[in-house]
Amino acid sequence: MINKKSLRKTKKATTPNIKALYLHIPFCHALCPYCDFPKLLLIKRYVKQYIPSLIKELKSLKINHPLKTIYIGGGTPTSIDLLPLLKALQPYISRDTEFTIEGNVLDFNPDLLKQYQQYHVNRISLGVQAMDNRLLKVLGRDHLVIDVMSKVALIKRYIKNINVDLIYGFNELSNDALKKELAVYQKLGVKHISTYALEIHPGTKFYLKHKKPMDSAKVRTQFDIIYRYLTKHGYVRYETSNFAKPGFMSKHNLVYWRDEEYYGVGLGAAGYVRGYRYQNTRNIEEYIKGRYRLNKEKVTKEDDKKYYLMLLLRTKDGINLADYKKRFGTNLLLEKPVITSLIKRGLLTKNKTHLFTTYEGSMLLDIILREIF
Amino acid sequence: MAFDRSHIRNFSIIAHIDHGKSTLADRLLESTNTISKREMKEQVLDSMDLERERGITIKLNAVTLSYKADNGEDYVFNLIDTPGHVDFTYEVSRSLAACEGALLVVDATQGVEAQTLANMYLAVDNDLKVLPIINKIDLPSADIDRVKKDITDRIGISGDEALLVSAKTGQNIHDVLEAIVRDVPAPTGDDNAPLKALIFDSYYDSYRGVVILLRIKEGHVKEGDTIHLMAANKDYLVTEIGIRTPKELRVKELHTGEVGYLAAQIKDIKDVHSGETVTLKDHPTATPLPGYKKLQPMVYCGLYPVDSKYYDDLKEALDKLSLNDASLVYEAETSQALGFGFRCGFLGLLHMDVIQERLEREYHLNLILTAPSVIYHVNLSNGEKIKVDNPSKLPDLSKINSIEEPYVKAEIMAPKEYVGAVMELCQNKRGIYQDLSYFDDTRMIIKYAMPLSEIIFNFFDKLKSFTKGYASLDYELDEYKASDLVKMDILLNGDTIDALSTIVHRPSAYNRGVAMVRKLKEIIPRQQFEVPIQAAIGGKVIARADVKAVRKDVLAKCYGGDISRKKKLLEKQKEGKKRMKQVGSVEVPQEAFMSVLSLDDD
Repeated sequence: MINKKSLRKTKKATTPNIKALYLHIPFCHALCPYCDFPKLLLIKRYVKQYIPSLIKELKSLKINHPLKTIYIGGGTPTSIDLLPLLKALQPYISRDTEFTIEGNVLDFNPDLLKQYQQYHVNRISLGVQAMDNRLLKVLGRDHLVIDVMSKVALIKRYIKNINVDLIYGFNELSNDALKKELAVYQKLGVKHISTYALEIHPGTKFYLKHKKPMDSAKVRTQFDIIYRYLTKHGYVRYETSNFAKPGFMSKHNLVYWRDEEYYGVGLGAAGYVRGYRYQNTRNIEEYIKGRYRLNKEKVTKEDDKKYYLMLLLRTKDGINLADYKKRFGTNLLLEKPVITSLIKRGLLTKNKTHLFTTYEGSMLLDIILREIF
Repeated sequence: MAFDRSHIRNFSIIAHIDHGKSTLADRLLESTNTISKREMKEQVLDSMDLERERGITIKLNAVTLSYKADNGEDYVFNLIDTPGHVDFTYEVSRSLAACEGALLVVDATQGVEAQTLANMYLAVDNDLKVLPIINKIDLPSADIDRVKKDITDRIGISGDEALLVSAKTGQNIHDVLEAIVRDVPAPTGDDNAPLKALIFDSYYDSYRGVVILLRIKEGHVKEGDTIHLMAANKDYLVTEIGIRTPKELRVKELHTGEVGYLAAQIKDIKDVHSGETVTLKDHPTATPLPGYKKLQPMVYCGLYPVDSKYYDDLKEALDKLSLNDASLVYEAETSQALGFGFRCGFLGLLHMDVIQERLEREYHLNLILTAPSVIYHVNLSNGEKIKVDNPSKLPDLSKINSIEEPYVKAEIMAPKEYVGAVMELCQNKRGIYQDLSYFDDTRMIIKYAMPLSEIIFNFFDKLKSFTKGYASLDYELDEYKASDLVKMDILLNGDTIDALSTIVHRPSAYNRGVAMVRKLKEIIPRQQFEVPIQAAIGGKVIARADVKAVRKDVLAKCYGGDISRKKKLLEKQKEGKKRMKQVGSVEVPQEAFMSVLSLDDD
């Protein structure tokens, strides 16, 4: 006789292993004027209670296999002692696990890097944002250009795979300054560059101070500059806003953009596990008490189609039409005739196997999606 | 058996929006136990949602109350509601014609306002006894002395006689009931004369056909009679007679002075008009009641579903609405830009608004309305005369000898300090000065002949803002006059959009063209390509503005937590897109087609 329990077991056994795990560390030394991620100032009392709660949430997932990627993001993970967490993560790490920690430039020192290395961290993501002291001040960062130069050199001695975050599309940044900044990253030999057009979100300092957003045509021009410079220098634009040297794409972020499942733990973190997308609470008190989930939503087939289109079209390769058919049982081009007109309008293009955006289409992706949805 | 006529009181309530007409009506119903507190839905008389939201009464209603007065005798009150807007002046006058008295309600915190005056004059025209009532005396900001003086000065009846009430708390409502008994005259008329009854409202009921609300002026009517509608020249067999309390209560007969309803298997509401006289086929009255007018639509516009697959739904909805609205006319038309739809005729702009809202709200239709137009008389060079109610149908200029447009006689009453401003406005709107006279010490009447098309283009709103809301406007169709008119086309991305064509006065065409392209530039969102917007007359471009192309429309970051949020945002934006119409290669929001109404081109 089959009982419910054994049924559940069978189902679990057939679910492919989830590859990725995201952990959120919400603490920061200072709050950046543009940041709308879940974050709070470093308060010792909270840190002391937060890490155990985070580890508890991690264990509750009952992950019983090694992960392909682990990503500790923030906030500023390097602002606190991660040792207990690093220890707790060791069972999920195998030889080829990509393990990234996000950090603040000034936090890095040889002891910290040795510790990270010892616990198999093999990728560092640096919140550099700009390479001009005046602009760094505008963006509310506490480091200087010279700090970036010396810290990148230091990190490279321990961990070669480095990403830098770059912010563009704000009025103080001139096109010339942007070009210079790109040249520095290239010379520093960073493997991966994430670009962010400045968005002014409610609740941020920029929003409260009525900072004037840059005209969208100018923002586009700045991205054109970034694209031209980086592709000329051997970086591949493998996602809307991300560039990498061959072999250095972020495996972790590709999980998101390929609409694959991932675990997410920590304050405000999101996850996609066994057909459900969930969102954690942004309230630290609640989180510490172990009330993790804010909401949880079953992803229907129709929802999933939207997620799939929205995410896959961000990638360089776009949508593998055979994969789409396998996943949803339909022929995308027949199902969404508007795609033909989007191709005519020069926003999408296709080859024998894939449908993907043109360069113009990649900059107008939301227009495309509003029509396909 | 007829009720003793000396114990009948027929009256209306006249009030400015929000001065408490509906609340007072509710209180009267409640304190005469017509409706118990338990049954009381706030503001019973305004039964359409739309009316309740806007605080205006569109559809008339009537209700019969019974009241035992302090003198120990029983009275029957017929409260007849009136709509309150310039589009419906005629209906107001017909419902007032069914009464002997009117309660004039003035807000103790506001004083007399323009709309009150306009209806007040209709009451005076109909020889009604007017009882002033100052409402909202419970409010801390009530200024009773000032409002009394206001009534004396502006309305010309003594404010000291006004009853002081709070319809909200029920304070002094009893005094109102007694005043109605004491001061409103009882109806007169000969119950044995041939039937003469006034229709003041009607509505369609799927079981009984058109239900007529009527006031018997002379004679009587009973079930089984064959009635004759004098203007329509049609006969019907009466199947049901009753009064509304407000629930319908069947009675055998209605007698002189009484108010009630009548059903007679009338299939088409277009045969039944307010102001019509009902008499008996076999025993007819010699002369109909005075004041009957057949209402003609004055304003036409195109009505289209945003998504053309809802054409049949729109047709069905219009069919249903017109069952209850004799003034709504429509016929199918086709637009190159908008596809299949209807050209609809309305009494005025409010009527148009109300129909639009009802179609959207009650029938869940997503609609595009084109700018309203009057009916032009066009004299062609070949001697033929044609009528044009759709600017895009105006023939080529070379084939036109002259174009005539409807003028109205506009009567504006305003406090004398605003006369200069009002005249300037009328002058700007091509008005032809007729007369200026004192109405009383403080107010003047300004008369202009004006093109109706100018009245449609936000004249009323401007008049209000020029006079701080104190002016009242009344107009009636006068005559057609030749004007120097041309058709102005709008081109989007080089294509003429028929639904955006308007007929304009040639000397102001340039200003209107500039204002129009500027306005459209504000409304039309950026698209993938730059979109030139041009205004042209006879193929010659007179104004241009460009909607710049959108260069970047993509979320810069999309990581774990952003994904669900982003999908929801896109879905929401997709919903918003449904309010856009794809016109050629350009996406145009619905409101663009009406934008000409909100132009500031002076």
